[in-house]
Amino acid sequence: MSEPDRRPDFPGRRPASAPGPRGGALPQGHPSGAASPVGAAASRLRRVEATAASVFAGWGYREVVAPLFDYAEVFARSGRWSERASYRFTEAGDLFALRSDFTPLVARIVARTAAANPTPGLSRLFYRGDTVRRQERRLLPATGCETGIEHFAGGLAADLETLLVAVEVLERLGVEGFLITVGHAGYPLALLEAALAGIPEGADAAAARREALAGLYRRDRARLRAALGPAAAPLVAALDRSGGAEVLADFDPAPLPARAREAVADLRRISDALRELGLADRFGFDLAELRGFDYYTGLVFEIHAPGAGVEIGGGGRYDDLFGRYGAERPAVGFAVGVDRIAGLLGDSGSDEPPAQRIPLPVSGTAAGDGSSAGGLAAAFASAREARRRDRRIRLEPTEGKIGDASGPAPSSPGGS
Amino acid sequence: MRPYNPRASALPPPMDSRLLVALPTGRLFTAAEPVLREAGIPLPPPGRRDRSLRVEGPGAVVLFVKDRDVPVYVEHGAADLGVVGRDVLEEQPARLYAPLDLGVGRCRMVLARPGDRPLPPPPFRIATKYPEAAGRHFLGRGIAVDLIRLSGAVEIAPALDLADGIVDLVETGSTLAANGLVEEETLFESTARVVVNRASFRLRRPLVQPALRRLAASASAPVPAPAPEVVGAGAERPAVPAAR
Repeated sequence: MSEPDRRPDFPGRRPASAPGPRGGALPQGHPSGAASPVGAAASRLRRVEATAASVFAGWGYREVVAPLFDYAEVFARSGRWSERASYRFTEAGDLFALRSDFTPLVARIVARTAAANPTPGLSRLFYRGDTVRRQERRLLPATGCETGIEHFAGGLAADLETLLVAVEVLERLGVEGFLITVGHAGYPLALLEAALAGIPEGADAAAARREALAGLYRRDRARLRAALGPAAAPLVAALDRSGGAEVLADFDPAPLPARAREAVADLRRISDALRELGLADRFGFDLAELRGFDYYTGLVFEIHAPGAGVEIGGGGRYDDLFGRYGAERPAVGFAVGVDRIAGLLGDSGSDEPPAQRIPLPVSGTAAGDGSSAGGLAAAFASAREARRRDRRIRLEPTEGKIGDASGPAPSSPGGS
Repeated sequence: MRPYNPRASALPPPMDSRLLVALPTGRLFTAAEPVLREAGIPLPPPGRRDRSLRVEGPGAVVLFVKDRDVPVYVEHGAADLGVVGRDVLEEQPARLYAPLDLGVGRCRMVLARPGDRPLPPPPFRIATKYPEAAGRHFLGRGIAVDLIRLSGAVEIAPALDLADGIVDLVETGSTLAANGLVEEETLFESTARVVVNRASFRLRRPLVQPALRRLAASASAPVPAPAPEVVGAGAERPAVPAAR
């Protein structure tokens, strides 16, 4: 279409009062989606990130620092969701995207590292940082902050380890009442393949598959039935298998496809192990959950906590994903939304010792405040001495000096 | 950092023990009202919908919002549960569950064009309030269209030569006929759907599941023609639910 872009201006584009050196006006506020926490909110965010990182390191995970952007194809290859969510730009004829998801980037890094140095050293990795995602129905992308792990190993032990690392992160942060809902992508996907095998010759199998998946994501029985006809029955029944460990117990998996049977057996062993670990009340099960991403092949899980209307984390197993980047290996992992968890936590965690006040002999005005070099040197000598002993300090102008109208702020959020 | 005690955070914080329900204010409410009332959702007395946006019952709090805002409230967890037409859901790819079709408020999303005019060569100009649904329909067939987004009275657009056709929601089709339009194709049938927040579906199971069961039962049962008087809403519900 040749029509001009008729999107309304967003607030950030409005001209504002203060003209810059070249006459341009600085937009007021910040654009929608660009979070900028300050002070206590920023500490909370960093505390969540640091706590998670220390748990990951404690379980033997090594940090990988992922780039802020990469070729757009890197994100597209992990599936439709990452492709749609990534915010793209071109430079010198190449198409790039800002980091919308860590796993594709880690896959790339692992593939390159493995090619350069084939020693299998790094089987447990963790990452942390900001993401930028395109938002449906929004004009601008939104920033997020997340941290997570990738574990390159197959088998139930690795699945369980992932779940327990997640539990420890949430417990250490004091996230109250969290619930981890566990499923297995193999269950709904095997039932879906069986149902698709039963649809009549000549029907559009790709469209039926797409519609059935949409029905599964939305738990929409009507949509599943419309897509698959009578063959939808096992998938519709799977939608009811959601709740505690009892959803795994009370049915006969014998008539199921082999892959679905294995999925149930895996989930039962996970459920038994969690019960023996005394963690049963932290976990729920759901045999229809797929999480909406399209790369999971086994375990899937989602973390919810009271007070958060959306999940605060999630993950699963994606054994086929790393192969798409030339680094074929089984993988399981998860990420938590650092900003989402920080939003749930109160200020209770800031148990830093109070700062030691050090008087500064200044008047408070910027230029020509008349403080003597000797006075400044004495103040900074005591500051350096306190810092040598790792004290938190705050330099404050001494009271009663000329021009000091405002006085020292009781708790300045920023400082330099 | 506080010392790590693996079982330190077992107690859930208190939560609102009542279900939060977002209902649409428009035509869909009228269609769904008997089913909702039968299911024990607290509603204003029949025929007396004043301007209050909030109705409180013992087991649920109902919020009346714009049709298109229902998925927004539910997706972000400002409401546990909502009722919304499929037409609205198709426009907004919200991350929420839509487990139940109430089967009421039945309409069709149709493509219609003037009966007295041959179609021009593509790209067709299509006027609609539903650009997502219309766009997907034509994209899926590889047909080039120029979508013209309108806010209402879409059926007038072809007569004024703003568009070659329209995609719109119709109940009987009489408005189309009155404007000289003929139905070309039905994109999908739209009915009232119950949508559920993903977190509430997990964490507030003891509230959400009984409500879904009652709604499913009243949707499949024949509803008595005159709406019954206000029932003791939610009397059989658990007073204080567990965390999940």
